[in-house]
Amino acid sequence: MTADRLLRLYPRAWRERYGDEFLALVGDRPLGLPQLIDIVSGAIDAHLSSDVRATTVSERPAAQAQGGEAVIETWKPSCFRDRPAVFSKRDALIGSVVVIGGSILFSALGIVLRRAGFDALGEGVVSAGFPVSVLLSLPFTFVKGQPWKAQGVLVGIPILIVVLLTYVATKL
Amino acid sequence: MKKRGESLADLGRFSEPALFILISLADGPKHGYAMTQDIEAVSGQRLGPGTLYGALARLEARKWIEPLPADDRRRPYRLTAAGQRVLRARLDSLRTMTRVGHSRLADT
Repeated sequence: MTADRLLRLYPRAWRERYGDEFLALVGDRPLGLPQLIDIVSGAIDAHLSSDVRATTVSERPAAQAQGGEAVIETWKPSCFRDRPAVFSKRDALIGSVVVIGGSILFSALGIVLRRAGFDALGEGVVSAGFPVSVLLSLPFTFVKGQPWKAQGVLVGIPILIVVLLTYVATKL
Repeated sequence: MKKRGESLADLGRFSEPALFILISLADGPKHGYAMTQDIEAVSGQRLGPGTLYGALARLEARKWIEPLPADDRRRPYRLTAAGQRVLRARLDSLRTMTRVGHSRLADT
């Protein structure tokens, strides 16, 4: 794998800040497995670390965002990053309520099902509750403004996959 | 009591690479490649790019190092006054640990 391709694993802001240095450092030399692992783990760290974001986020448009908005900007799929924000603080708040409220409701439903004797189903509902709630919040945030069909696909298919995986997990 | 972010130990798995970087920059500004060469010569360890830039970003975020204008594609970094203080404190602590360790070994 070339250095250019490895660099694409890093967030765009990171690439803007450190990309040239990274390419100069890695050069055209063949990379060994330890170096590849180091670069991949560095990319994961660059996506997750607040310290790393702090040194890179100021050089991109997201710097205009504050606090949680900056984090949301960092995590937006790249296809949405260059578009103007299509969801407001109110939408983000609604999305948060859907995530938190959904998780609580699914957990409560799972407990009720287990008490009613449906142990596997109850376990599955509890396990799938959080990821499904996050997916259900997407129409208020990241996929807001997309056509309804696109929203259905972007939210519906991942929910089906989560439900399927949860079903399989409860049968193992 | 030290506040969070005032000690190299706060950098977790990046604390050792960060120490190497601060030591490397103690005798003047260097860019990433020069740092890895210097660190390898001094410690025998070669920092990978992921570790190097993870540590550099953390040091920069704490203002213990600062970037200088880029030279070609390479951007040199230099130690700040705060970085010198942190490095001195860490080296003093290591010296104490080394002394205690040697004296205990001598007792056995």
